[in-house]
Amino acid sequence: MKVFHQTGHNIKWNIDSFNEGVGDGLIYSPINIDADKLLGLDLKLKSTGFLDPQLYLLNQAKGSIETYPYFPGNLKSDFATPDLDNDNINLAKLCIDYQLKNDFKYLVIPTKYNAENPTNYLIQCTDYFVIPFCEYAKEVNKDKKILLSVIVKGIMLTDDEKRNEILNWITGHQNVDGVYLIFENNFASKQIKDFDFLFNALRLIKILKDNQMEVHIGYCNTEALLYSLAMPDSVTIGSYENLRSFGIRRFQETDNSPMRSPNARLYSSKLLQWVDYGYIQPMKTLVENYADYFDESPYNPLTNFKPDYNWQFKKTEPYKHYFYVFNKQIKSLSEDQFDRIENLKINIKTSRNLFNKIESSVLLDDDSDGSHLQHWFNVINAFQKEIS
Amino acid sequence: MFDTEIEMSILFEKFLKANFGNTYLKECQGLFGIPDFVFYAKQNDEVSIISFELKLKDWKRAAKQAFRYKSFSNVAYVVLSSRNVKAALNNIDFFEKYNIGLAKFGNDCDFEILFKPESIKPYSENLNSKLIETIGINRKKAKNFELFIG
Repeated sequence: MKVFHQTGHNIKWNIDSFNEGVGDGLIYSPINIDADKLLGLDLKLKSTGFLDPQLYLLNQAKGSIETYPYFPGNLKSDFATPDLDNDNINLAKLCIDYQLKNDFKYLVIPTKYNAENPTNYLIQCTDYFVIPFCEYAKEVNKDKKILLSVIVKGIMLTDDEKRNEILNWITGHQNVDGVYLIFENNFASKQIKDFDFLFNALRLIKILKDNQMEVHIGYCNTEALLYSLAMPDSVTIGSYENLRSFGIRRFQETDNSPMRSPNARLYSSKLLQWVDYGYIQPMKTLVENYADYFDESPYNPLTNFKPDYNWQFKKTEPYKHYFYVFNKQIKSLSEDQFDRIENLKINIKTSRNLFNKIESSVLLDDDSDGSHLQHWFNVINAFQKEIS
Repeated sequence: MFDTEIEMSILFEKFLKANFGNTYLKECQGLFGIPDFVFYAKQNDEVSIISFELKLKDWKRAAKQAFRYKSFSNVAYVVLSSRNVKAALNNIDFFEKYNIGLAKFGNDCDFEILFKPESIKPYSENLNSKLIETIGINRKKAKNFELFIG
């Protein structure tokens, strides 16, 4: 299973990390990098990754997306959805040409975001994107595989009818080789603690795999480990929280509201959790061999930097540490699905025991504790039962 | 009884001022969590810090917040509305385990300590220093602060 860097702000961290052997490629984010700058990047960096075209909100000129030739506002200043009736072919050409010029590994068909889930949504996506993209790709591209971007809303997972509808739609396109799957995350907690959501996400991935589709899951947080049980082709690692959880706010032009800076966190593969750095000091005082709960890496601030290391969510080390550790964790997963399942169950049990030890003296909050793990465990058992 | 935490906070501030002096900060930011009140007492070169988390209910959430304040405080308290203190009292061993103070407060300014924690060295020297720097060279005198420390 591959690990892609979901890039965004500070793509340099991902590039550095990738150049140091972490991850299998990068997923590029047009709102964060100028089209020309991306064109100028080393081909070696691009031939292993792909573009997230980010037409989610069509004509919202967030960040540098307007520098892209296929940005709808460059075709017509007040471009709106109905304009896709006439401009869909043109847009498909510009988008594919740009992707081919970069020589990415895959060609990606964009998608449009809808806050609601209108009945004609999938028909529109077919007409506006899938058909013109596949037709033009057939003309100009002979060997690159085609991925279809799909935003999966919570309701599409938990409602049987809607789940079947999206599955039928994804698997119904002859020229599409795989899917760039994005689970919309509207949860308030940092970890997803919803059984139905996670269990049905696994079912969805499995069905897509059963249909011989490549499945690349974007915007993953640590639940990528859980998704791995359905044997997708890739998951992602990302730095900031908005790269590990898909929310449309990131793509809204008007989203200039001051954001409260989150506290820096340190990922632990032993705890399967990101721990708020504020708990590191109490752990140091109260938990024997506290540093053993965290992984060794060239970037771990606990072992590589001065004790007065300035923990900040904008600093690179905790993220590079995560890239390093999580990539290693994913790469160590068994190729065999049943072993993978059993191993993750064992890891979860171990993590819960470690949390018990920590919480015998340190009271962790809901975003640093192991409360997501019982949900993971239940999801795994249900999934295991279903596939046995 | 209090309808909102703001109402509770206003009365608690009056209570603090009247009984313990003006040596406190309200909703101090930039630490680990945002305590409703940080009360301080200077003695010679030492500064004792007592943090308070006020809640109408949900003692566990309050305790988790109060635990964070021990990173920069010697003592941290959960102060619950008198009306909703029963569930917390039933779990007093939880407060003992984590050495977090528990008190109840009512709208007659009736304040009662239900568990008095031991004073500890704050877990984070950096955060404690940062807070002491914020307090600065304030000459205000605290009174009766021993009441909060076990």
